[in-house]
Amino acid sequence: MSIKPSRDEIPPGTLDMLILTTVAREGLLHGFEIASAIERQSASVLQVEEGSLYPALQRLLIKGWLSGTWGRTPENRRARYYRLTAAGRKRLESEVESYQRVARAIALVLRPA
Amino acid sequence: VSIGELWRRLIHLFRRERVTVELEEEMRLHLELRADANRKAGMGAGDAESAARRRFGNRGVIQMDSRDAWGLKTLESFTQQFRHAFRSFRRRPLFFAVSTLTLGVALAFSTSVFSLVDGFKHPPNPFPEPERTFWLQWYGAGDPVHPGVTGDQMIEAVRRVDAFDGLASSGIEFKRVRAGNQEGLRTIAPVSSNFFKVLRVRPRIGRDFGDVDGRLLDAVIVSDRLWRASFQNRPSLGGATIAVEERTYTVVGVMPRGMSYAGPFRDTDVWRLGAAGEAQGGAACCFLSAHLRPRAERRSADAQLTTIAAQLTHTFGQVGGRVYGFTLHDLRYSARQLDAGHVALLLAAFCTLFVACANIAALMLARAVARRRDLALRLSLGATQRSLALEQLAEAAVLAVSGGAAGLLLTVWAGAAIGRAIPPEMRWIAMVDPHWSGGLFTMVFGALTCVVLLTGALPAWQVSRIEPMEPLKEASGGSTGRTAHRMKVVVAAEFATALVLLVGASLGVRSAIRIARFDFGFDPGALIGASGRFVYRWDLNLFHWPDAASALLPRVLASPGIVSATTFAIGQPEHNQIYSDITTGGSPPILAGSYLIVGARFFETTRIRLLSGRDFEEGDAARGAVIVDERAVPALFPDGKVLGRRVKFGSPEGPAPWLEVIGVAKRADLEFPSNPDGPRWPPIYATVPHQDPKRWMIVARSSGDVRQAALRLDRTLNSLLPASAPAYVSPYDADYQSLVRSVGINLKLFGALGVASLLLTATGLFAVLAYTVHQRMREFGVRVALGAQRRHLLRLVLRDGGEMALAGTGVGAFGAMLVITLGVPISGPLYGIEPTDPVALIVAEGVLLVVALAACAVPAVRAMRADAVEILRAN
Repeated sequence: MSIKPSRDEIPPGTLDMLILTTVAREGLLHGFEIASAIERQSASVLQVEEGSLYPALQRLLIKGWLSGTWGRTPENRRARYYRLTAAGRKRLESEVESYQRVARAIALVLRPA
Repeated sequence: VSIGELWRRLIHLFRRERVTVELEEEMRLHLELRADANRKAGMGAGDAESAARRRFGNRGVIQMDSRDAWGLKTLESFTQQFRHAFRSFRRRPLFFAVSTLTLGVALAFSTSVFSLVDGFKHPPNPFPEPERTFWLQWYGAGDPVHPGVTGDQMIEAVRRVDAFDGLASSGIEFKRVRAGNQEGLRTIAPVSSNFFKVLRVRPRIGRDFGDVDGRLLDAVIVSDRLWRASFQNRPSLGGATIAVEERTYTVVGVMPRGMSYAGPFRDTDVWRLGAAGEAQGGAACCFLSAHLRPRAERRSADAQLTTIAAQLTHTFGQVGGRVYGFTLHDLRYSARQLDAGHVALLLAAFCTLFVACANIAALMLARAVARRRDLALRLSLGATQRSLALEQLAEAAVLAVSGGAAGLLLTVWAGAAIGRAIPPEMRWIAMVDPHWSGGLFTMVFGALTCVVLLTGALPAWQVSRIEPMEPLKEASGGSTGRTAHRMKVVVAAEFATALVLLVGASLGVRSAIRIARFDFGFDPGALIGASGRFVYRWDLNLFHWPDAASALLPRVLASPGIVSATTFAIGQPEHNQIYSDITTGGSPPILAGSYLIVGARFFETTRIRLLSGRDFEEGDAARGAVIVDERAVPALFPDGKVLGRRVKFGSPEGPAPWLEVIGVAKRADLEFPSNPDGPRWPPIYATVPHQDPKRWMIVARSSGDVRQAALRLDRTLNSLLPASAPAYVSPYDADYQSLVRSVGINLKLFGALGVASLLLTATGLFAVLAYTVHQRMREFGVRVALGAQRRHLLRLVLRDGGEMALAGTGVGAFGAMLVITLGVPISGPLYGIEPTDPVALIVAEGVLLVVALAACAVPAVRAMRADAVEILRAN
């Protein structure tokens, strides 16, 4: 009997960064693929709340960080595929940098005396 | 927010249906793929789908959250508020109509009056570079014997000034112009073909004089004023022609508004091509206009002109000690001084604006209080304070926009109406074309919108302070004392302001009536006055005329439509004294600034009635004869015996001859007196030889249309006379009639403002009374149930209305008297009426109180119909 890993919610404010990173790494992805990729890459620790995924994608489209094109899945279903834009790449870099700075600071605080 | 983001939001706003469908499709695919994954993980078909749905969450909520991301939620909320506002107004069309009309009327009247006065104060400047364009005034030696420099020579000399990059010449002539259906003397400027290029003024219709016109000399450019008056301001030239004297010209262009320049003359209506100095055959009439080269300074132009002037003096010599010189006048227009009439108009417009603002405030306050209960109910049913407040503001915004639209329509209409109402001869105001200014409209609209939004914000602010249970508990009784009091103060202020306006209007009416009812003592309607003066003796000698008046009289009599004519002049008695043969003994003489020297058949021509004696005849002039006005008889002939007695213009010892009195004329005033209450000399008519042979005046009686006859006479005389001594011919009472018309216009403007404020005030009173009656219906019901008579209720409502009207008019009367005492004009120019005229004040008070009573009528009747049982059951 395998041990089921414990599932954590994605920390607030990081969903946009995770989506951008995933699309940057994988190229063209539709919504379900993005959610699956985040779970897979986090070794199933992070579970994307699907209810917040689509509003987040809409937000990123509006900001111009992602662009969406309609295409067909391998099973020949119609799907919107998302791609990272140049503005999105810039944004991702600054978000990752800012996140890493905060994470390092938190790690420093948490370091045992 | 970047522009790109705004653009994307906008795109999605217009494609929101499609965006929703696409999102729905994405979510469906997601659910299907999740269900597939669940099935692959070993779930049953039904379980897989329901697990996918559970994990996904509520699709409706996700749709809403996504729309939120697009900013659609806020927009939808706004749309909803506005929809609600429209619905609310549909339920109360009277409130909406009255408020919109109030705003519209206030906007239209204020904008029109402000534009009119602003247009007068700041005349439109047609010159794009007024500080670099100059009228070049030159002076120097020259008379008919020593003509000095010619126009062409002057142009050649000034052309050497290299600080100028353009030099144009113009002349001036006054000729009879027939354009459309109008004919009259107008100022015409013969100009060089580069005239408008130098001034940098471009025609607003058609074209400038081109090089080709140098050969085709039948082209003219006309002023905007002439185009509007004679060609109805049509948008294209369409082969328009005008006739100057007998020659026909084709109109090739129309100048922009305000362009009437031709050197020192600023009332030019026609520009035609002409050679320099051609206008009156001499260089003295050549005006030069110049444009300063870019980066050149005025100083250097002045210096170069000084050098040229010295050279001209050297070449042409000094005549009578005069040397050549130049002065540059730039073409900047300076602001004009406003007169009392303008100030009064401005004051009236401000008053109307204030009344409208107060009216809106009263209406909004009444509505706000009436809605307290409704708002409290909705608040207790779960509506948020924010949404209720937004709703109130949305209503105010809708009102402002609808009022603005109504105002725009009414302003355009008012602009056109004022344009039609102002005759061109009304100089004090016709110096501008009636128009309306977009900038001033925006300013007035902004002020009114502020009032609407502020008064609209009041209920919004009150919403935040409502304790939901309080108004509900009060039912319709309501503890609205403070608000009702506020509204009464506002309406009283409206009454006070309206009274000031109405006093101004009544003063105007009284003054206009006094002018219109002026009795000349005879009917001047069919008479024509013609006059002129020979400037040069040699001109008169050229015709071999001993005196102009006698020489011209037969020509006038021969003119078609003239039935009789006589000469007319003003004589001055020595020391302003007139003696009769019985006042020489010691009783004081009659004092008169002037007497009338008239020709034969003067009384037949003017139809001034003779009470006794006979009219002047041919031959009377040689021996001299006098007819006295009946008002002069008591002073000159206390014994009442007049005929056959003698009169002398001057002291008994003076050189003037004694003249026999041959008649007594009925009271007549030959001129409209500028001061109706000032001393007036009774006219004394004498026939004596002409004193000034160069100056002539003729009065003629026409048999048909006096204007046509005057026009024909004008042509006849001016074809005969030299250009330097033209005849001025017009109906005898033309000046008086134009005064009557201008007073009429003034009256219409003030009257319109007065009536507008009267109606607005009545509306305000009606709204407040209707509201208070509505609020007190329960109280009335109780009173009726306890045995109160209907007339008691009527008295209650009338007392309410009366309080506001009386308090307002009382304060208004005091205010009006105060501003009048301080010297602030509240009416146009007054004729024979004091600003403190009590009749005007009483009339204004009376009109206001009658209107107030009418405004009380409907609410009072409603109160009288209070049915106790029905009202108490409803509450």
